[in-house]
Amino acid sequence: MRILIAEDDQNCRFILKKFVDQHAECDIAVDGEEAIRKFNESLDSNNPYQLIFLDIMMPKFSGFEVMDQIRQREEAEGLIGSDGVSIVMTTALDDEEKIFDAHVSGCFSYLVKPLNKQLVVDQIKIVEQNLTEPA
Amino acid sequence: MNTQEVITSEESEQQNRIARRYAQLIGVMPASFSVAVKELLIDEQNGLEHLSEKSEFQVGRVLRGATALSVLYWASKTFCIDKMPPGWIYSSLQMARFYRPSTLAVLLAYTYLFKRAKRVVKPEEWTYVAEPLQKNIEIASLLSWQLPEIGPTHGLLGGGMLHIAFACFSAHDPKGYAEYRRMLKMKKQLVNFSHEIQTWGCTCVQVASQILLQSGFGVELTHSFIEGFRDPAPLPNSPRAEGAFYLVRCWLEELAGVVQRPAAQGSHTQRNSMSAQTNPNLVELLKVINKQGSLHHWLEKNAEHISADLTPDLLLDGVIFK
Repeated sequence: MRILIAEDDQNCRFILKKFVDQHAECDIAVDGEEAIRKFNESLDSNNPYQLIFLDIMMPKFSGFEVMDQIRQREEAEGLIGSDGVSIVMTTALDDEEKIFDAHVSGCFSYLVKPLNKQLVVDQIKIVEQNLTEPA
Repeated sequence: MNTQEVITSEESEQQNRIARRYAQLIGVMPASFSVAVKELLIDEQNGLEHLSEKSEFQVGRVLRGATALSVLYWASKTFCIDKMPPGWIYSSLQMARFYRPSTLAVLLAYTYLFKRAKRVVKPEEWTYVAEPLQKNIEIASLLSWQLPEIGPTHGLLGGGMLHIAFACFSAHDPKGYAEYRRMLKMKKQLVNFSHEIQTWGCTCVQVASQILLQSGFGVELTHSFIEGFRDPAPLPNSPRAEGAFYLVRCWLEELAGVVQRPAAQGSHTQRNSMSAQTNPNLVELLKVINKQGSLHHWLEKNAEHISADLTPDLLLDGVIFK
């Protein structure tokens, strides 16, 4: 499984990478623009990510804008619903309205910082499980 | 079990697998919503008519969001206006207590399902999905509040879930769905299962049932939904919930002018006619809604539709806006 971590805060990035590294191949993006670029490259090289941990408040493009662009590219590629990458929003905002919007926009899950290792690992396992389900 | 049954079962399993993929377009409800739905359904199973303390906590959390609160407020203005006399101020939990736990669970689920459906359907097609969806939910709900054999929970689900499934078909195949809805209108049909299987590999009932399951509504209710909408109609001694969904279908078909209806059997036949002891004012209102569309559009409401000016009788303390 390939995972992209899009996170501008160095400490959060370090912690999340540490949680994820034991379970999957992991790339890093430090802002929204880099996240979109890396996602596009992964599709272009036919080596897509299966899961993205996406911070909402990032420089250049917010997590919501990144998710919109990802979904638009997927739609253009004919990837819909569960064919697309699973996106877990990670944010310090424990805000019902933001969480609702994130799900309506197509995120798979929403984790509030400080991140809990078990919750992160659970997300990876659920995505792994969905990937192995018969089509 | 004979060979035919085995083939039928395999076909059905294959169709359900396809339906699951369509349902995944709708995605996952926020955890706060799915937990609240689960707690409310537990309350209902426990025979509670109102929310338990545990449910109130979960529902209160969901209703801190302005969108969910707005939908609940405008739904209450549609369905519970008699419980909202002027001159009072209503809090989110006071409105939540207007409903049985399972009915509130459905309202919360629709808050997400409708907004998510809008997101996945192409903007130019959305009106054709949203208008019949809101119209049929409103018809089925108003009816179900009057007819105890349906009840609001089954009325709300029976009126709208097929249209949520239609949203998945439209999102996946806008052109194919546009042709399908035109065909339904021309042939005066509510659904055409054989066309759906031929075009998309499964039926809207199968997709809707997968969405119900992934939204936390459980196997029993989902099974009743499937049985209530199947052809031929459920048997007279079938569980109450199946009969309730079947009645919703009968009413929607009758209002839509459907000529060929599924063969009704036994006691359901006697209860499914508009002329059968139903408030004539209600029948007239339903006909108006059927012709003109939803009167209230409560599902379309969001944070912009609550404010001191628009909703002066709503307590906004603690609500989170964008």
